[in-house]
Amino acid sequence: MTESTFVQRRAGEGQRLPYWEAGSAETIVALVGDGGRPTRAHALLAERRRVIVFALTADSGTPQQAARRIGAAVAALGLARFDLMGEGAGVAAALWLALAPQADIGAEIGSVVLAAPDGLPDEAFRAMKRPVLVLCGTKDGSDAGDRYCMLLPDCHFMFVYDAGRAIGAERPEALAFIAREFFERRDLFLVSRESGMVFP
Amino acid sequence: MKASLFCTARYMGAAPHDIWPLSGEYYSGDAAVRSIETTFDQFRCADEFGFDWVTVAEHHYSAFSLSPNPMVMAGALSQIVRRARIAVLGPTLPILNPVRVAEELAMIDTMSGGRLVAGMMRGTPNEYVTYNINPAESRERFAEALHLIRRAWIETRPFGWLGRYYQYRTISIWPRPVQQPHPPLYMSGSSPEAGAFAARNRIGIGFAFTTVPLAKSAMQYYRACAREAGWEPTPEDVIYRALFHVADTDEQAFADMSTLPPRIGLVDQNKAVAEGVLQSGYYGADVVAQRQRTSRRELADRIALGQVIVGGPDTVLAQVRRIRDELGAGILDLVVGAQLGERTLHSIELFGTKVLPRMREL
Repeated sequence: MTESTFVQRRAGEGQRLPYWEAGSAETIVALVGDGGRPTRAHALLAERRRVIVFALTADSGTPQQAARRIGAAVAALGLARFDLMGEGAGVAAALWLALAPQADIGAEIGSVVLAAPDGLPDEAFRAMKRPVLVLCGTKDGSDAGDRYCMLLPDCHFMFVYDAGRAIGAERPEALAFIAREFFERRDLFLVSRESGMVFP
Repeated sequence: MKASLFCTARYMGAAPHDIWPLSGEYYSGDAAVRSIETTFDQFRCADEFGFDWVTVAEHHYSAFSLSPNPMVMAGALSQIVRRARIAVLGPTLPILNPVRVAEELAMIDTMSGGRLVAGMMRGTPNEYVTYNINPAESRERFAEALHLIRRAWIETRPFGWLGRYYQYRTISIWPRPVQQPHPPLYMSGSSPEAGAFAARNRIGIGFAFTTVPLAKSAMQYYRACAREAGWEPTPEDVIYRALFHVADTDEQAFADMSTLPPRIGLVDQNKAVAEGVLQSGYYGADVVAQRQRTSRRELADRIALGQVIVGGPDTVLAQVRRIRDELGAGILDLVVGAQLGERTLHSIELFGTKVLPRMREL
């Protein structure tokens, strides 16, 4: 599975909202910023899950407006449940989407992974009821991750070594691995399941 | 200029000093206890006679040192040495668990009331065999572990770590270092790669068992890299390690040191290990100079090259002055050159009373 495996489709009002899709099984919805495209991390996640990537653009409006439009597109896709990723400028929109009433998007949201947040988090995010994992690159000079973590009531924070803001491109294996762990196990991801056995 | 005493806790029983790994058949518990007691006596003596630091290090499977875990030694010294700083130079970072290193160093800093000096080392290459770590990954493991340790000391809220070599789901160390934001940091600066890394990360450097000419060249490179990174190292940022022995007269000191066997580096004591490490690319771009550092040399050559400092107080001061002038080193890490009982204690006393006060004015 590679980035080029993703197929571009359109959804939402008037089929105007583009998104990329690959993989099968339970769904992950990823919101990426700055007109981004699927990364190697998305491709790795798509090896075991269905991954739908929405890219925010300059036309997307505020994060709240973007979340509303993406929520409508997700509702049109008829998903029953999905896990949520927000990356870069897509972080705030992902949190607004996570706060949206289930009736609006027609699907239950599992847990949330936020990679390389930026800007100031909205006070409304204090109401987040889902577990959130915030990831920040060690080369990312921003302290936004810390501010998000202080606000979100059930938040885990991890540094991604040797990454800046484009974690999905710079450390794709690490991002995909930990996102999968967190989506599957939520808070239990704290306890490793990896075998330390060298030879049986 | 400051001085540190480095006692390797050499095994004082009858055992070969040119085999690695050394068989336990040579081991005597009584001799080992005597060796550790002697080590503690020498550190106490250094503390009493004004040495600024005492140094411990990590070496495995050898009579050269009974300190495979310098943290244990430093923990003991935190209660024995009452005034001097305790320099752990250092843990062999790439073969250890970095969170454990951060925790143990923070413990030592706490137990000593904020007297820890933290050296982060790649170690002698044979140590990679000890815990079965690939020496080819040494530099990358070192860099990541060092960044992680700094984070563990500085971050006050729990955090996870997704590294290339290390992964932790949550870290929040207790105790934390007394010195804020963290204890002074040093690393080896002998290779160009290490010098550049230290300069980029504003870390002090140390030169161990090298020569003054090789250290001088490495020092110039470190300074250039530091300037590029926007800072200027001070003498306090540079440690130079050499064997030493002081006696009342030059004649006595040279006579004492004439019993010293030529030093054979730990890695060169095992041909397979030496060759395997060389093939792994451990030494980096400057392999020839790195191998020259530990070449076998006679005592006279070692003195001329600044590997050994020996003589009466005036002669020793002149040798120290040369190191200061050529390298700009501000800390001299003095390794006990020969285990000669009372004469070794006298050497430490002479250095502390007759050399160190004049050295401080250099």
